[in-house]
Amino acid sequence: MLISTCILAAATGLTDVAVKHIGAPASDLDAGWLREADPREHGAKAHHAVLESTFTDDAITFEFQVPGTGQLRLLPLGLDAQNWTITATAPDGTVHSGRNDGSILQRGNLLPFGGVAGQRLDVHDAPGGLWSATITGGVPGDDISLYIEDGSPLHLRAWVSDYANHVGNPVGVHIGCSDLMDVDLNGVLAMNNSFARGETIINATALLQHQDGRRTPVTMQGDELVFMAEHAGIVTMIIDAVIADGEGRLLHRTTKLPIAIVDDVPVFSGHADVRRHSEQHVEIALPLSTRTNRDRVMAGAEVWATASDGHRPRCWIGGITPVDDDVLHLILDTRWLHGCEADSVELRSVRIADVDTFVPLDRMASAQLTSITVPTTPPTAGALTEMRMGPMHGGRTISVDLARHSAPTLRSAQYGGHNLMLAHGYCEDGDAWELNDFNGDFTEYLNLEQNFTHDGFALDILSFGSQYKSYSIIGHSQGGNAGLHLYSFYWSGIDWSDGDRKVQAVGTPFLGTPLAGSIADLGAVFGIQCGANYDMTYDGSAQWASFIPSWSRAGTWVWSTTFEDGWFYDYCNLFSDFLLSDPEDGVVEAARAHLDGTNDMGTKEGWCHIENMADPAQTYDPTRNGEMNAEGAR
Amino acid sequence: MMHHRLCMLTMLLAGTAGAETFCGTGPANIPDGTGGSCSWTLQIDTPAPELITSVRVLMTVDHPWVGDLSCTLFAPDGTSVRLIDRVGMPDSTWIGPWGCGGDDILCLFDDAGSTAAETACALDVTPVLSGNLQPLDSLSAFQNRNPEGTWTAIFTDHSFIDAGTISQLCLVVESDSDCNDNGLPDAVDIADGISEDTDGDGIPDECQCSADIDGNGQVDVSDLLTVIANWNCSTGCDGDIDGSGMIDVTDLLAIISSWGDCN
Repeated sequence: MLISTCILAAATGLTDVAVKHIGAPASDLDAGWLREADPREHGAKAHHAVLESTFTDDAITFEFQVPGTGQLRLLPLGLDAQNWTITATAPDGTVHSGRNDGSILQRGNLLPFGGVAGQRLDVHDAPGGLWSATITGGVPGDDISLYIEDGSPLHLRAWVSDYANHVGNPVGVHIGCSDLMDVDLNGVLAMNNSFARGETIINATALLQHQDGRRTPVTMQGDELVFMAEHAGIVTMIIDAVIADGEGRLLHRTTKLPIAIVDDVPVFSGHADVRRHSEQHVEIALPLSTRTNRDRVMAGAEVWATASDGHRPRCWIGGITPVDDDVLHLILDTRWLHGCEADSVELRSVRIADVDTFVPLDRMASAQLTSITVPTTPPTAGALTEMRMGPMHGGRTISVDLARHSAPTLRSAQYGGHNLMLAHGYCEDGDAWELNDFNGDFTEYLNLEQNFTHDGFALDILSFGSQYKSYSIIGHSQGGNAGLHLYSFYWSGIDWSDGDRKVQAVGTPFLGTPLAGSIADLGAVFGIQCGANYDMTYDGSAQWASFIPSWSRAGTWVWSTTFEDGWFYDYCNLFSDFLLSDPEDGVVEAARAHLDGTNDMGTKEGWCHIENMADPAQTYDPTRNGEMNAEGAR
Repeated sequence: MMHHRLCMLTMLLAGTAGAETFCGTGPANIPDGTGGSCSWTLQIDTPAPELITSVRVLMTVDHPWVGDLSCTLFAPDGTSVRLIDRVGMPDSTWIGPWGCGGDDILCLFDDAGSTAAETACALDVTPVLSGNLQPLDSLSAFQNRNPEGTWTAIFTDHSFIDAGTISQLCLVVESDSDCNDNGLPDAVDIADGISEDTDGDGIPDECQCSADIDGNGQVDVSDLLTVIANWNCSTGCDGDIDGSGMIDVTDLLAIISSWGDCN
């Protein structure tokens, strides 16, 4: 009765939740971790094409260019795909159907979340030229998407001109080619390299897919595709291009770029006021010149000051920042400035962003800070925690409805105890973890079939975790993002857990996954209800990570997995194999499951993201689970 | 660890010269989360009536979750002061529903402390309550009360799972004499004219038996004979009871009026 009463109390009404006033050393800036993400380095990247159509009778034929650089893989995607057959016809008329004709048919689940069977036709050493693929067994009226991968490493990339995309303003998108070796390079630089190799976009078409499913054409204006942002939300730019590689061979690429658009955009007034907050802290008020209904924003600013080594960054401050009467309040621990000249302190690169999408709202190049008393002696080692997280008392709060969408589930955990919290990921539909691998005090967070932003997910964990005194997070997939977000930005039971490993993440798309933007397409086809998730796109992840300081990264342990690279298959999932670069676990590319500054525990072969993939689910690895159980803070 | 604690105690008690320290006893274990309590008591005996001018409380507790604990100190007359009440909760900022999760208490509760104990919680600091801390309620509630008697401190652990022990509870008491037991310090009685201090020694006259010249606890024949023997003496002779510089009839009358046992 006590438990249920307390949970009920926690589940009703608004609660003041204390945010951390983050301080991070200048070395974080030197590492590039707390600098605003550059959209040219992220965006969408595809080395496949998608041709879409609708059956008008029981068969449909697609034509497409193939460069002749390797294996051709064709995967028809649709609601009834398991009943279709596929044949491919080479330029010389040779027909391939997976029957000892230089091709094979791979069968398996189409969806990374299981349940729908399909097939993929792999043609070995496909010659270049115009190919066709015919799919039969369809029902008139059914939609079909043919995914094509031709073995060429050439990628079609797309990136927004600026992440600050606001309702009522034009949104610009750049496109360019990139070889595999340049796929993580700045898009402009990669494009220049591509030009140098003679790679050219012959023609491109662009459609904007709105949240309601409508698609409208987008035209090129200058060197950008431009559309007007009409509504807040996530839209997807679908770009289809025919490209000539350096040898003049034609190939086809389709890339989908999710774009976040926000409204209610506050604007800095341009100045900063300083007042004493406590002996060690000053509060920096940043007035807004526009009224806003936002109660909080994500904020960040570099703090520069002059000392014997010149005028340079001394720390970064920020985090989730409440908006009170159209004023933001940052808190600066003056111990970061020891030995600096008091009249030299200024904020630089001040930015605020939406807490759910991290879309920039406004920027301010600099603001002078006056009336700051600078300590002359260095801080003690014991002061570091408070310098990093801010004052535990007297800091700012946000008012949050901590009512949960589902009832908490108690396993071996004790109410008011100290636990490991096993957290599942995006759109989970059941137990993600092998619970028998865990013992001692642990609990399982369950809130199934949800599509949370990282912030919403973190607050939901905070709500669930409020029945325990302390806990650390073992997070699968987005559960790892949510754990790190919670640890970084809010005071919670994580802070009271004993042990170094505050967050242990497995298969977490810290740097994003291209599936995040494609989920909406899959939902349209297969009825998956959770929808697209911007925070797990390449862009959303980069923007999110630009607010994550070194101290919370250091408290995070990270594992990734990939498929067993066997002779029979080299993927976790038939469909996601098209979208992901190897090694990958069927949802997350291993290279994007690791975040600089976290504890990299490596990539293990033979395990996929979830059940119903080619290898067992990574959350069922007893070795790793045993280690996480033993080492996790409680 | 013990050496560290001794150093801490020495530091905490620095500047308490003139004060008396009284330490209590009681069961070490605080019942965990049962709502039950644990009492520590200490006895203060004073030879004469006194009034408290200040109280500070030295406390040493081992507990892995200080936010579980409350402690209230009761004076012999029933006056109570809450020293802590689940540190960190409730608070103007929400750090979680379980209060301060830090370990241990080794502090001197002092109204002049640098920080309020209820907000002294911090990560990575052990003992989490340390140094001179302001109690939840002001210890000035004990001022001008007689310290004589049995003091009681009630410790309660309000939440299961984390349990702790008490190893020390001491009161550092400064007090004034209240020789006439009127509830006011002697100095106040004199300053406000409530009492005479004829000889200027800071003790109200009514508390002194000045006619007991030989100090045997009685005003008797011996004292009378001393006055008679030194009659009219003006140069520092015994018997100048009223301090007039002359032994005369006033001193004789003081002997007569005080005749008998001084008490």
